[in-house]
Amino acid sequence: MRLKVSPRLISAIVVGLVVLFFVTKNWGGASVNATTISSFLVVGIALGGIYAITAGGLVVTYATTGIFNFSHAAIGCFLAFCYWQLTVKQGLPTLVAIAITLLVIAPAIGFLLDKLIMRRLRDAALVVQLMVTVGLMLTFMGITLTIWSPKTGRILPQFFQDTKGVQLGDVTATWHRIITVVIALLVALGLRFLLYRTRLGISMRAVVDSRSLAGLTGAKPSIISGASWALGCMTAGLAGILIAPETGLVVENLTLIIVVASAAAAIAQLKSIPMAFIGGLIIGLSKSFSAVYLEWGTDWTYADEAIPAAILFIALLFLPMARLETGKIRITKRTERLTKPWEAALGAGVMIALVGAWANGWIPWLSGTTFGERSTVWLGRGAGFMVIGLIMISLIPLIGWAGQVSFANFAIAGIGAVLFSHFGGQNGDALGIVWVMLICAPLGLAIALPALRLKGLYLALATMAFAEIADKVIVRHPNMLDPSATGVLFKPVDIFGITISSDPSDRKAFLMFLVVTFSLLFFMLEMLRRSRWARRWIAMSDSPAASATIGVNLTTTKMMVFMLSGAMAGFAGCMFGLQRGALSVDSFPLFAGLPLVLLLAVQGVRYPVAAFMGVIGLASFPALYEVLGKPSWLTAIELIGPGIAAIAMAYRPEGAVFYSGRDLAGLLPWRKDARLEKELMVAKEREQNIGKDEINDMGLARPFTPDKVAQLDRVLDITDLVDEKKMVPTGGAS
Amino acid sequence: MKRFRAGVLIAALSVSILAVGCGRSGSDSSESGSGESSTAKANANCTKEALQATEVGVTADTISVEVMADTGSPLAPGLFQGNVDAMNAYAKWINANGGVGCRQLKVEAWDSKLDATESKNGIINACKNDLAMVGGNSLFNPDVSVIGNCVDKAGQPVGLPVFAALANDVNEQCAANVWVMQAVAEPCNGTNTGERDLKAFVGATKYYQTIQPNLKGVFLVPGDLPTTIQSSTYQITAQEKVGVTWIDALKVSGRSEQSAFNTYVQALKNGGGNYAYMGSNDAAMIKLRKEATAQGLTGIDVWGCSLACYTENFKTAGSAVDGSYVWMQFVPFEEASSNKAVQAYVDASGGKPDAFGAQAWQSAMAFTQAVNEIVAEKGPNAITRPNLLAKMKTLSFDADGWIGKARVGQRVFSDCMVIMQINGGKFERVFPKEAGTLDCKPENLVTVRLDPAAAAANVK
Repeated sequence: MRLKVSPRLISAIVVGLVVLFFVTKNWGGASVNATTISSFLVVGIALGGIYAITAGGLVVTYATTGIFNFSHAAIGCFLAFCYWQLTVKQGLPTLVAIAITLLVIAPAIGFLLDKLIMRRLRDAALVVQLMVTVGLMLTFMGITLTIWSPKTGRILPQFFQDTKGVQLGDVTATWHRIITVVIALLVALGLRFLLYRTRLGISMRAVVDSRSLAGLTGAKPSIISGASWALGCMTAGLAGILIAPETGLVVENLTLIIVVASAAAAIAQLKSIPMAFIGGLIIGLSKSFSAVYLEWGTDWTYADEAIPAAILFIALLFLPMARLETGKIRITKRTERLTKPWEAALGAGVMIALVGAWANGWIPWLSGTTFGERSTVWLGRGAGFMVIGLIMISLIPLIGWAGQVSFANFAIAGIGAVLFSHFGGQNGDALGIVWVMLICAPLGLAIALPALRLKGLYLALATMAFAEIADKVIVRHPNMLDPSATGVLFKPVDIFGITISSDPSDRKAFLMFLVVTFSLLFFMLEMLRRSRWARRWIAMSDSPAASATIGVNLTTTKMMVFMLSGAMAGFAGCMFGLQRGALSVDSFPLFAGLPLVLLLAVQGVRYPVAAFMGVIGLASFPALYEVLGKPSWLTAIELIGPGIAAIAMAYRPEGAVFYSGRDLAGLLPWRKDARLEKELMVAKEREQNIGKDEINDMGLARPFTPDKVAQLDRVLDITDLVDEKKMVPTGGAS
Repeated sequence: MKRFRAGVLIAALSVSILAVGCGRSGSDSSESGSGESSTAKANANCTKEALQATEVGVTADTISVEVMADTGSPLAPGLFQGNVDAMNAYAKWINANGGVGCRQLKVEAWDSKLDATESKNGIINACKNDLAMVGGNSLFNPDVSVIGNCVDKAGQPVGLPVFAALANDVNEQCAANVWVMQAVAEPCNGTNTGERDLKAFVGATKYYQTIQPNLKGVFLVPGDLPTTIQSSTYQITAQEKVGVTWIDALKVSGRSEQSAFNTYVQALKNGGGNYAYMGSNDAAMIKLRKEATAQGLTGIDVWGCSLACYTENFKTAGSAVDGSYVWMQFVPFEEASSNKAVQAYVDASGGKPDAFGAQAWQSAMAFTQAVNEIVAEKGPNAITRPNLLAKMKTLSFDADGWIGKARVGQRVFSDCMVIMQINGGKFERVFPKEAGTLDCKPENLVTVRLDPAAAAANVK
C-alpha cells in the first residue's frame, strides 16, 4: 500500500524543525516559570491586539474593495494625529474627539479616496493598484509630518492610564491594553457579522466580485464602494488611536506597522477577519517569546525585527496553490507596435547624447546656473540617479512583461553591493561584477520559488517579506557587512580603460559609463521584447491558462525572467556600491525600494524608456531646487508628489511614457498607427465609462431600454443572437 | 534614494552624544587666549592694511563657511535644522557685533539628507566655495577623503578645516582636519578597530552614587545600529569600573511599542535593581518610565539619561518622567541669564534653543576665535586654510564659559558636566548647585580597554 504524505505536512514539519533550531540555538537561558510565562503572555497578547486591529482593517479593506491598501497604517497615523489635535490640543472630551475622528474625518477621507482614485483602479493591473496605495502612503506621511512637525513632542495618553490594571502573576495588564485586545476582538467579530450577515456587507463583497452584476441586482456600486473605503478608513483610525499611545505619536512607528499587519493578514489569507485577529496574536506572541526567552547574538542582531516578515513568508508557503484562472484574459493594449532595432538604437543614442551633453556643459541654457559651479557635485548626483535607473530597468521584464510584481529588486541590489565589496570591490577588480551577477541571478530565482505556486498579490507580499528579511538578516550579518569596518569599501575600478568610482575626478567618466551601460540594457530589452521569450512572458501575464494551453512552460518561463531580473539588479548593486563608496547596514530597507517601483509604474512599467524617464523624474526636484532656490510651492509639490503620482496612475494606468509617446508619435506624418490607436482607445474608454455609469445607476431605479441593453451587452462582452427588441419590454409597453 | 531609518537616527545620536572625550593633560605653552580678547585684538588690526581675497571663501568683505546637516530628508524632515538655524542666527549676531576676521560672515547651508553621497558632495562644495565647514552634523559621512586632500587657493592640497558640532562616523571623528565640539572616545591613533583604549565619562555616575552608593541596574543600549551598540559597550564597562553592578545590558529601540519595555521592567524588578540608565533616546525613556509606572515598579533611585533626553519632547511627557536625571557638558538654556554666550544663543534662537543648535553655535564661536586670533597675530590678510589648520591645533576654547575648557586641536576635551533633573515638565539643576557653573574634574573621565565589536556580543 502506497503511503500518501501531504506536502503541507512535510512543509509544516520542515518549518517546525527550522523554528526549533533557531529557538534552541538562540535560547537565552531564561527560566520557564510563572513570572516569565506571565510576562510572555501579557506582553504578547497586548502586542497581538495592536497588530490584530490593524490587520483586521487591512483585511476588511481588501475584502470590500479588492485592493490591498499599503496606505492603511499611514491613514491610521494621520487620523491618530487628528485625534490628538482634537483631544489634547483643542481639549475636546475623548468621546467627542473619537466621534469626530472616526465618524466624520475618516469616512470623508474614505469617500474622497474612492471618488478621486480608487473607483478607477477596479480594472487596473495589480502593480498599478499597489503602487497607487504606496503613493498614498507616502503622501499621508508627508502631510502628517508637515502639519505636525516631528520636532515637537506629543504624547497621546492611554485610556484609564491613572487606574491600576489587572494583575496577572507578576505582570500588570493595563486597561488600555485590555481595551485594545477586546476592541480588536469585537471589531473582528463585528466586521465578520457585517460582511456576512448584513445586506450592506454582502453588497460590499458582491461589488468586489462583480460590480456590474451587483448593480443589476439593485445594489448601488458607487455608493457601496465609497462606503467600503469609509469603513476601511474608520478601522484604520480606530487602530491608530489605540496604537499611538503604545508606539508613541511618531509617523514612522505608526506607518511601519503595515508590515506586521500584512503578515497577520496573510495568515488570514486576506479574507477571514477572525483569522487576522489570530494572526496578530501569533505575531505578538512570537515577538514576546523572542524578547523574553531568546538572545540573538551579534550575528543575528536584528533577527527579532524580521519575525513578522518570516511569519509572512511561512504563511504564504502554506497558502493553497494558485489555480490557473480561465475566462480572465486581460489584454492591457489592443495593439502594441514593437520598437524597430534602428529606433531602439536611436533611442539609446539619444540617451547617451543627452546625458553626455549635460555632463560636459554643452546645454547652453544651463550654463550660468549653479549647475556649472557645482559640476562635480552634480556629476555625482547624476551617477546616483543612473544607478537607480539601472535598478528600475531590471524591473521592466519582471513586472512590466511577465506581470510578476516584485518589491525585492532593491534588496537584491543591496545584496549585490555587499557581495561586490567581498568579490573585488575593495581591490578595484571588475571581474567581481560578473561574479555578483552570477550569484544574484539564482538569488532572483530563489525568490521565484514561491512565485511558481503563488500569484499576484501574494507574490508581491512574498517579495516584500524577502526584502525585509534581506535587510534585517542577510545584509546586516557581520560576515556580509562588518559593522566595525567603516569608511570607503570600494576602490576605483578600471573597465576598458575607464576608471569608475565616486572620487570627484572619476565622476564624469563614471556617469558616462553608467549611461552607456543603461543604454545598452535599454537596447537589449527592446530587442528582447521582439523575441519569443518576451512574447511568452506577456502571454503568461495576460492569461497563464491560455499560455499553458498553447504549450508555454510556465515554470521555466517564470524562472527565466526572475533570473534575468536578478542578474540586472546585481549589476545595479555593484554600481550602487561604487557610486556610494561606502555602505552602512541600513542602506537597503524595504521602504526605500517601494518608491522605485512607484516611480517606474507612474512612467509605465512595460516600457524600458520609462526607467530613463524615472531617472529624469528623480533628478527634477533637486535640479529645480538648485535653479529656483527653495520656494515653498516647490516643497509643497514635492510633498504631495506621490499623491499626484497615485492620482495620475489611476487616470493613466499605462504610464506617462505610453500616453505621451503615443500622442507625440501621432504628430509624425508616417505614424498613422499611433493616431488610429489613440482614436480606438478614446472611443473604447468613452464607451466603457458611459456603460459603467449606466450600470451603476440601473437596476430597479431605471427602466431597461433596448439601446441600453445592447450597450450593456457590448460592455459586458455578451453575445446574444436573439432579437433584443422582442425580448426586452420597454417602459411604455405594459 | 532616501533611507527609511528615521527611527534609528535619534538612537544613533544619543550614542554620539554619549561618546565623551579625552581627559585633561599637561599644560600647553602655546595655548591661545579667550574669544573676547582675540576679538578685540583682531578688530584693532582690521584697519592696518587693505583687505584682500586671501583664500577660497574669503573676499575683501566676507568669509564664507558651510554648515552641512541632515535637514531635508522626507523621512526625517528638519532633523538637524537646529544646526542650520543656529549658524544663520550666529552669522546675523556676529555680523551685528563686528563680524569675523574684519569681514562679514556668510553661511551656506548644505543638506546632507541622511545620505553618504550628499555628505561627500557637501564636502566637495565646501572645498570649492568656502573657507571651512562649521557647525555641521551629518549622520552618514563615511568618506571624508576630500577633507584631507582639498586644495587651497594656491592649488595646494592643504585640506579643509572642519569645526563640526557633532561627528558620528569614526572616520570623520578621527580625520586630521576635523575637530568636534562634542567629545570623541576613540584614541584616533590607528585603525580604530580591535582592542583599544577608549575614553568614557563617568562624572554623572559618580554623582548618582551620592544618591545610591550601591547602584545596581540595567543599561539600555540603543540597538538600532551595530555602531550604536558598540559605542555603548565602553560606557557600560566604564560605569562598571566605578562601581555599578549591572543586572543586564539590554538592547532597546525607540520604535518599540511600550509593551515591549515590559521585559526591561521585569529585569529590574526581578533583579532588585535601583538604577536604570537609558542609552537610547527620549522616546525610549518615556516609554520605559510609563511602563515602569504601569507595572508598579518602585525602588528605582536613579533614572539616568544622556543629553538625548534634554528635549522639548521629554518635557511634554509631564509627570510620567518626573525625577529623571539628564547630564550635559554645557551650561543649560534655563540659566541663560548667567552666561552671555548662552543668552546670545537663546535670544537668537527665538526662545526655542535645542542641543544640536547649541553645539553648532559653539562651533561657530570656536571658528570665530580661531580666525580672530590669526588676524590678531598675523593681520587680516593672513586668513588662509593652512593658517586656520595650524591655529586649530593650539586652540583653547570654552565658548566664553558655556562649556568646559577644551583644547580643540589636540582632541583634549572637557571633563566638565552639569546634572539636571526634570520635574513637572521643567529641567532643574541638581549638581553643581550654583547656576552657570560646571563641575570639572579629571576623574570624571576614565579610560577603558576593550574591543567594542567583541563586547557587543554581551549585549542581549
